[in-house]
Amino acid sequence: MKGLTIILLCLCFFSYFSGAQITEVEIGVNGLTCSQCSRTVEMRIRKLSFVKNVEMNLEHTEGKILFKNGAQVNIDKIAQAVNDAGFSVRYLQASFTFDHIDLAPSGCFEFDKDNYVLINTQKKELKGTTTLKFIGKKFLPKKDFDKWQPYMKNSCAGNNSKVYFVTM
Amino acid sequence: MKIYICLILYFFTATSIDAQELYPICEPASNVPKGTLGVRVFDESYKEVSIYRHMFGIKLMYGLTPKLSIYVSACMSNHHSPVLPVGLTTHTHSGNKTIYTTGNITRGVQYPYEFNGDDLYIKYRFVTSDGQNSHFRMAAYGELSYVNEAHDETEPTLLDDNSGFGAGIITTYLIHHFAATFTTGIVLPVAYNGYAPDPYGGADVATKLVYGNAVIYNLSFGYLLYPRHYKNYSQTNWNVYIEFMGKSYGEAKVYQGPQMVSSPILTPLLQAGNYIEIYPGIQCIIKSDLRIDFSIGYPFLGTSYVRFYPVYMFGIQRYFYGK
Repeated sequence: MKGLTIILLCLCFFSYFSGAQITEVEIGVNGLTCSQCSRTVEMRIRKLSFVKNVEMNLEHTEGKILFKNGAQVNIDKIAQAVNDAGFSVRYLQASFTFDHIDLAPSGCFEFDKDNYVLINTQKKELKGTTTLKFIGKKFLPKKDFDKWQPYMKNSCAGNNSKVYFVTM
Repeated sequence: MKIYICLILYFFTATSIDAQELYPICEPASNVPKGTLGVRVFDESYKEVSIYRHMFGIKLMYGLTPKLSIYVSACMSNHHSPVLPVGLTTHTHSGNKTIYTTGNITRGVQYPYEFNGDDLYIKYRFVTSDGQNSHFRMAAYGELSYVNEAHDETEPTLLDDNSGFGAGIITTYLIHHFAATFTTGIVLPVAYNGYAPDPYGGADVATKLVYGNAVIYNLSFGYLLYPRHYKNYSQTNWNVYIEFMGKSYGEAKVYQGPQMVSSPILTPLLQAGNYIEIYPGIQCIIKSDLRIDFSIGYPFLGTSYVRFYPVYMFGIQRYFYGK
């Protein structure tokens, strides 16, 4: 009986994490002007351990990134890979699969071990598949970042750790 | 000349195509991606009178950070005599006084292939302004060359002819229809100390050749011919380029023993000069990975005395991304 309980708990645990995951990221890359440059970006992103596949759209200088099942996605590392290739992120948006999250008035929530602040929205809960755009110096051209900066306030209670700012 | 002007105008007015900055000769302000190794092998050749001169080189490039790249090059050529040429200096006697002058250096002499030397080049990008299909970037570079060749012209060329130091600024502007890169910098060569044969059959004479400092000013344009629209990495890219390579350099000073023998300088090879060359080039990039380029150089304004025209430049380059 004890063994069965442990197995059931394990199944619940893994099903929770495999369901609540960032499934896909779309990224726009600035400064790309040739297919060799685009290939360089792709190769840098492919090196990330949690990345399953990258499809670059050379014409529109965009990429779609798919992830390994159950792997924890590190959004910072994706932006850094673009930067390491010598280019800049124009936008980065991710598809989140939420079970159900009630949002605090501050917009704070936790997802897959990372802390987030949802800004500039009236949403009170997150559920199902939702696309969120990342806001930050690494994720936007300076001109766009400057517009968002006044809204970027981390008022999550008792939370001094790093947060990702996202919007709908 | 007309065809060059037409080509330049075409570059400036072409539409709906992204330009290219992977110039066959000049470096753009962009960097080698971080952690990526680039390997380039190249050949520069021309016919000097009846002798074919070649310089074969290899360049290893590595991205230390996204903004800092390091390049190490080495080359071999049949450009130089093992000692300074017999015609470098001559002298006459007037009473008990010896009057030294520079002589006429014979061109088209067969020289053996020798290892020329090596070169360290570091580039740091300090301005980046990227748009979706555009960017404006600026980089500073520093270059250090070690070459021990009996170079017999005043015009300094690092890696090939001279030990020395180089530094400059690279500016690349790329917007939809064309890419342009302007490079300006200095070349500070180190003097060569060696021996020149005595024209009258005496013992070789200890000789110091101090080369002129130089200012370079290069302007490069690039244009993508094919594909018209990118679909995948397997499309072979065809790019065309025009590069204007300019240099102004000072006159040489030649010393034999403690005496300066280079006044007046009779040969243009040791006189101050300036020129601009034009290098139309074509490049194909296979599978977005293997880059092959070919350029031909002609004098545009003035002429260089360290090479003969046309100059053929050929290069193959590939990036290795690692695991």
